[in-house]
Amino acid sequence: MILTIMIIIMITGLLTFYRVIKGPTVFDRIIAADSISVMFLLILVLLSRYFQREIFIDIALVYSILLFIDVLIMSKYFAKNNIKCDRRNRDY
Amino acid sequence: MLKTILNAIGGIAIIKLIGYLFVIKGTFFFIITTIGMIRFDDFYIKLHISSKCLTAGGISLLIGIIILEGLTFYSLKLLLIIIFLVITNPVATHALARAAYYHQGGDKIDSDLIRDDLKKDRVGDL
Repeated sequence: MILTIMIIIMITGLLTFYRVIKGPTVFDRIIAADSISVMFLLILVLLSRYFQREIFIDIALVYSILLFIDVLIMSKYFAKNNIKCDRRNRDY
Repeated sequence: MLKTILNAIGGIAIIKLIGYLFVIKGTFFFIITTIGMIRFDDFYIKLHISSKCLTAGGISLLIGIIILEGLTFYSLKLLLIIIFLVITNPVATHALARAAYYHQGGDKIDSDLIRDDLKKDRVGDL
């Protein structure tokens, strides 16, 4: 039963990867990557119950904190303007 | 006392059934999240879906596993993950919406907003 649920969540995670490839702006890709990461975090929790080991829950706790900080840093970086590099003014 | 209640409603199996129902409900929310992420073209709708449906699916699945396990330290760590997911997911959504609104470069998002509260306030600077 747990194995079936894990396979279903993994398939939906891989379907969201389509939006990472296609998304016209960079913010679409950030949102899709965040969604995939939360889904795989929950697969990690289910794996901890499947293998009957208690150590995977600690890894899931740390990974959720890292996920939150990653999205904040990416949003702060991508909010600034792009610097267009002009290829015509170089002299080589 | 708990044993008499459990013998009245039919044993431990009822609690396991409720736990599995919560797990199935969580995966159903994840499927809806994926369908919404593929089908919609606008950015703000995707933000809405990722913030609401994903958090709800995650909470539901984790509550299901807590019911299946029982009251040990394992359930306490899962409760900690639930609390963290509830607190940090809306904050990340808010930061991403502000970043997408203030961005002026090549990836500018031009979606027709019906209600725009940030146009005259411009609180703070990103």
